[in-house]
Amino acid sequence: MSLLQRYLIFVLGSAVLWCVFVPLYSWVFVWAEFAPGINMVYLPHGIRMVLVLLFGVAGALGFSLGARLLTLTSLPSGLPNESPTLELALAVVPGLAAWLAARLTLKDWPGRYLWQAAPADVTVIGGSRLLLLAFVSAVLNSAGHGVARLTLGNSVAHLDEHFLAMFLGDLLGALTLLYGLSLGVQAFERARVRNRGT
Amino acid sequence: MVPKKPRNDLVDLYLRFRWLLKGLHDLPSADILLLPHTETLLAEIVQAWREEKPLPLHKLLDCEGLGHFNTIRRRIQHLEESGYVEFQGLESDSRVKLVVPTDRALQFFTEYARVIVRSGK
Repeated sequence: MSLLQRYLIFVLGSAVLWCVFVPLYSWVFVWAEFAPGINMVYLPHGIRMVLVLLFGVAGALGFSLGARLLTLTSLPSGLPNESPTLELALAVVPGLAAWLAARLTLKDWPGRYLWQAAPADVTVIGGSRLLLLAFVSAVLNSAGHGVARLTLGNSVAHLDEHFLAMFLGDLLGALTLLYGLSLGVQAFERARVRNRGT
Repeated sequence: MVPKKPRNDLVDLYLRFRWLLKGLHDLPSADILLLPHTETLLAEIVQAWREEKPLPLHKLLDCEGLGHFNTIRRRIQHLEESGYVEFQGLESDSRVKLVVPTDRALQFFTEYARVIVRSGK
């Protein structure tokens, strides 16, 4: 497999995951919507983190592409109906924010290695570092959305409220997803140990 | 028969996921006994307690084989917060704090022993 093919697979895989997960999530969590495009428990933010950690820029490009593709369909995209320029900016901001947050909080992670296999000795990520990443990416994402609306949007009403709601939603969503995955992994491993014993 | 060459891309993908799983294990207040050093420390505490010689906190902190002083202190604190150990005072000397396992810790080792017995059958 060529390097370009590998890169494209990472991008497309991330985009497909986004296009499948976000409509499902929007449908189930419609009750937690604070304003169009802002959710009080935004689980997809956890997906963004996971994709950037695993695939770096390719993951970020993938979910930005997925978000853009969803706006072209009638499926819920998580993006409100805005001008095309603002919609594009709102699709790009989360990718940029998640990648920048990873760059700021981690020295080394598998997503840094795109054109080669990730080395086996990539520094193990600590749980507290993972939480810091969730916090920083939530701040950058909500701030980025605010800046995009301020510069490209028509209405700047409730910008502060939206910032706070989006920050809390992203942070809670990422934490819920990370802890959910952690519990799932532990349950799976316990079941495996039990099965080995029988 | 020529063995199949491993698919490097799949191996890479697998290693990336394994890296993430390690981070998920280490999330604060995730099951701390999945960390091998903490489990060793708890085993040490339970062993001493079974021999009716529960270890005082200062002796545990001095055990170089278990790690650095601060590291051991942090692990004991985690074990206490998670309900695996508790501290007991000595009647003869109120300054000494004994570290003793709770029912939860004993339950953990009972389960562990059960799994080992089952796997040995």
